[in-house]
Amino acid sequence: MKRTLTAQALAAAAETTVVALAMQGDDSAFDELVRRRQESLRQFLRRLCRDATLADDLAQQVFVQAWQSIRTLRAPGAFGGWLRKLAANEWLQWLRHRRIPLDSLKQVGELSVAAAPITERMDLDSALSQLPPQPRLCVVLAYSEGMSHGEIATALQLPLGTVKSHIARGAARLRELLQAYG
Amino acid sequence: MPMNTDHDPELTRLFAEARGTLPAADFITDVAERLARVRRRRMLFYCVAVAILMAVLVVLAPDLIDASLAMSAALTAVNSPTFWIAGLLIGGFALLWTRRGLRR
Repeated sequence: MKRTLTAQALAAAAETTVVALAMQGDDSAFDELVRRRQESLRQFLRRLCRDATLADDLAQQVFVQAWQSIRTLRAPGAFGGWLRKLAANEWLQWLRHRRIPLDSLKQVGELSVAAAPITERMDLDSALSQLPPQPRLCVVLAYSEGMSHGEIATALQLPLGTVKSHIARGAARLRELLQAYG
Repeated sequence: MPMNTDHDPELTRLFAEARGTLPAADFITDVAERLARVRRRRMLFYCVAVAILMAVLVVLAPDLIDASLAMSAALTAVNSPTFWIAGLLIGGFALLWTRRGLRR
């Protein structure tokens, strides 16, 4: 039999309980997860896209996907990481659809810096947008989401060395950009 | 959250500062609408699938009944002492033949 909780009880329940209920097909539990996770997911996607409308659209799509496949989640405790992985894949897929290369370090970076007016103050999101997609994703997962290099390598199915190099080079480039325009 | 100790503290600070609060109401409503659309589409798909299955069953029912009656008649013929004896003889010959094959 399916167990359900009232909206109040759901709001007070631990996330693993809410996830477990959503895994059993409880739609109000899933709505509660949307309420709890929407902000961090949208922030994460905004860091990647630098476009609030696109980020929100992708985030909505991620929640729909999560609802469709939440039964495949191996454990309730893995929900946060799983959701981030869905979001990263959704963004990468969006880029692939537009045939944007994921790992072309030089062109994207150099080109945009040259194009930016010198008087403009470079904020974090602008600087992030100068990084190619894959290094940007690794940097955001490490610095914004607090994931370890190993977790990022597993989530993105990339070699650990590649992740470390993306983060080191990406962070160096960010510092350079922020210093040059800061 | 596990953090890497080799993180640049300045970048860590900038990332932490960049986290503002976002208005939630519209977003949650949009997600609810999208989910409702997906649920409706899924329900429609199930209904159409069930309707097609039932239509196929109705069309095939006479043939299925005929086939099952014919099969039961054939099984009645098989279920007789003559067929049992024939079956035992065939089984015995098959056993002997395989044992001879193994001895070679």
